Amino acid sequence: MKIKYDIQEIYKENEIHLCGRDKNEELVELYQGILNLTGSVITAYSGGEAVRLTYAQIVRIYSENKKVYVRTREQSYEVKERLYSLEERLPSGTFIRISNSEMINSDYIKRLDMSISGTIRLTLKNGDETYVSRRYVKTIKEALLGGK
Amino acid sequence: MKKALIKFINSFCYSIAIVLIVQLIVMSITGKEPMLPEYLARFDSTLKAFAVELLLIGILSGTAGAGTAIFELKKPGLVVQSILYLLILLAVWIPIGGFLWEIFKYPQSAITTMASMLLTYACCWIIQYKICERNIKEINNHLMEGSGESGVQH
Repeated sequence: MKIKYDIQEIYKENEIHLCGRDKNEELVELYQGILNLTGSVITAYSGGEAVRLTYAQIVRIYSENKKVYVRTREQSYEVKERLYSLEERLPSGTFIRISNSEMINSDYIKRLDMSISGTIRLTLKNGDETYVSRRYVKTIKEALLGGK
Repeated sequence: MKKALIKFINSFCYSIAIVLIVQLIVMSITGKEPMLPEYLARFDSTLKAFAVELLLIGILSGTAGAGTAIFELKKPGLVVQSILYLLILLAVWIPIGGFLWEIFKYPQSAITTMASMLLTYACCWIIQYKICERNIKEINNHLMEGSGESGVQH
């Protein structure tokens, strides 16, 4: 594996790029390790207790009854930030907006299904199901497939 | 709600600008006002009639633009969204069409306008549905390839 610096003025802030021929297990482990090292976490609350969650632990983020919740594999937590505020600081290629009230971690997308009535159901790898607004299907496609 | 209002204002302004340009072109070519005599007869000046026509067409277009906010909802599905959108359009189009274009007096006008509107709507709907269907298929194929090749387990 090659490790190198890439110092150019085009970068407005420090960035880490993981490059490979495909998204293999080694790359994913490095990605999660870097997230932990760089402190890419969200403070969430459950039963009055504060918990620090890494981005990799988050399956989806949604708003309900004027509150914002984060769902991990195990449970849901409340966060004190607004959805748009989280959207600004979460990595845009990983966290995708799927409706006006929800974002999901693209690493957890299992499949999409469209019913005959046009409802688009998204199944996540932890078994959760949610619904995608039609206008965001293209956003999901661009995030997963890039410029294809 | 805010998005719907912005869409209404944008569609309102664009439609007025387009209608104004088209009407001026038609008037310069034909030398006549492109409005029905029955409609013109309701006003004491052509300018007033023209201004009201612009306003009503703006409202019609604004409603069509604002109504697209329905399609941004996760639920209900596309079919119900489309029906609701069509109902909203008709609720505004029918009274405005009756006032501007005498669709109740000239049934052929109503039929041809309605048929062209429905046909355009159906074509747009089918195209949007097929595009969405294709995008979902591509996404699922990519996801299946990704989980097969890398074997990454979450």
